[in-house]
Amino acid sequence: MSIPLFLKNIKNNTLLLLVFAALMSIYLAVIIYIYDPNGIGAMVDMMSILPTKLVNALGFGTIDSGLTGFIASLFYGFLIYLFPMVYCIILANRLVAKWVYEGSFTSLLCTPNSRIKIIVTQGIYLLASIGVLFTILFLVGYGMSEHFFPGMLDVKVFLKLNLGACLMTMTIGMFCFFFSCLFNSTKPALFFGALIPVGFFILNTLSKLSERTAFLGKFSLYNAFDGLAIVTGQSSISLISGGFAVFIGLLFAAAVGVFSLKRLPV
Amino acid sequence: MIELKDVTLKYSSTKGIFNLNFSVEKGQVFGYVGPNDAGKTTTIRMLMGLIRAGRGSATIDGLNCFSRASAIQKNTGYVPEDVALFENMRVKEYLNFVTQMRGIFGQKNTRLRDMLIERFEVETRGKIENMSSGMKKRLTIVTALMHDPQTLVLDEPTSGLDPLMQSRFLDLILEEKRRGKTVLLSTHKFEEVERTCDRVGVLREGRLVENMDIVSLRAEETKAYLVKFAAPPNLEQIKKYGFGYQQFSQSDYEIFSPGDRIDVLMKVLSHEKVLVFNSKNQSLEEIFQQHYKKEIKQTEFKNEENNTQENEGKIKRSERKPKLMPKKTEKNRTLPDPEETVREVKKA
Repeated sequence: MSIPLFLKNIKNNTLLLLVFAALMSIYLAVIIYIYDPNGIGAMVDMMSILPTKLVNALGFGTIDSGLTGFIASLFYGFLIYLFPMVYCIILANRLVAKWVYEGSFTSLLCTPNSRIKIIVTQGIYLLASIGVLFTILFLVGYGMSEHFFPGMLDVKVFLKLNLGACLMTMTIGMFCFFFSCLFNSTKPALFFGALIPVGFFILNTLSKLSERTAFLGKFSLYNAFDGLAIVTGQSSISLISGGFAVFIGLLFAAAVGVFSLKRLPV
Repeated sequence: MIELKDVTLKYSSTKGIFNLNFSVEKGQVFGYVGPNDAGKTTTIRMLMGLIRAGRGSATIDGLNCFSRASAIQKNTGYVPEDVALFENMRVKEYLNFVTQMRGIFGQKNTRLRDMLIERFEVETRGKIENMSSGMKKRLTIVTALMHDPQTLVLDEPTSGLDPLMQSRFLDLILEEKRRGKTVLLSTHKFEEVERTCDRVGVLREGRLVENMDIVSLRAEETKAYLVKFAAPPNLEQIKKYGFGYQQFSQSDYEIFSPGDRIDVLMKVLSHEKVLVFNSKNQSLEEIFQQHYKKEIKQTEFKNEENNTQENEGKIKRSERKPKLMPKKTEKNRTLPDPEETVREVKKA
């Protein structure tokens, strides 16, 4: 890994990270703030006004009465797919395809650093920044819960929730990164980088609509992460994490391989 | 030392570079000329490891240009044709960044860098995005040279520079050459080749069509002089010493002399009363002009070659340096002698 390049990435992309961290933190904070330990009923009432299918599709189908479950269903059920997805698409494009397209990547390669070293640095930054994003979310969630409802948050489960979501986002990020490494121009890199996660998202949403569409979920990566199942202990976090980690490793290796052999444009 | 052996890199059946063979020795400046799209930049980007050669081997100091690109970069300075820098960085910040990327941290010796900044009058305050393209090019030159590399790969380095900076840059190349650097200089400007290069290679449609020594090229070059005499000159004397001529009027002549026999011509003319003596300089540009004309195909080359050989007898060449003769005929088999072609045109 190249330290100066890593520092440059931090400098270039911190604002982007902060914007997304702030947006997601505000959402999380508001969700924790509106939690009412005595009457989850109001929320359920509100949901009952909406068509059941829509509620299911949004992932709000079952609302757990505990604080952790409440956060898991409202925040880690739906929003967790959208915001990090957009972050991954933008960041992956900025790290590789944009510089390659503009030609400034050449000035990186005209230093005594191998292609592999440089592209690994870019990939590590992507993973590290997603890690930071979820660390911030964890801290905000923990802080808000302790402030408003001391002792009610199951910290261990909340940590598992964040770990799972973090690894899932990293996998999505690596998909985007792979396409960013594959293409020499930003347009196809953005198109395919967005197509895959948006496709996963649509499949996941459709699969929750009815029994007959449930099979679509099998093709979606997002289906592997079910916040509520983690809270209830139905799914094993180590299994999920392991699966995501394998995906991340494979995609990273593929991205590095593709980049180290390709022809860079003039 | 830069070495290319049978390097082929195809974009399509006609685009790319094909079977390139040439080498640039230490202490040598190799001029790399050719029309747009001939493949000069492709060759250079291949040398810099940005694209991989399909076939053949390209090495710099014995290191493979693709697999050992990072090792090569330690001792190489590259000025690309199109400058693309990190626009949002400040100039000082960028220079520090590149220095760190080269593995040098902390306050090391920046004497060479400061000297280059001063020499090329690079504005170090402000952001790169606000700089003119000429200034960006100068900044690229500084970054390419500030680590005192042994090999210089320059892709049209003076394009976009003002005449003063161009001249300073050429001086720098000459200095670097004297210090034993290996330089590959791609350019469209023949003055640059004439001023700095030892050898010149002409690339056309991805193939190297000429690769020759500037010194011997100079000797073979024909100089033309427009001379006005006060009285009809002694043509016998001029013929006797092997100079060709063309008569325009009673007193106006164009006299041709090989590049290495100008002194003899002076002596011959010193016996005449010369009113006007104008050099009609034939630059390298004229010699290479034919390679820039796309329509000249190999068949036409052959026709010209035959004409040239027919005409050869008409021009008195008896006093030509004998050692050049066999080389000449050998050359004519593959390509026309540029000098002869030009002479042809002139006669017409």
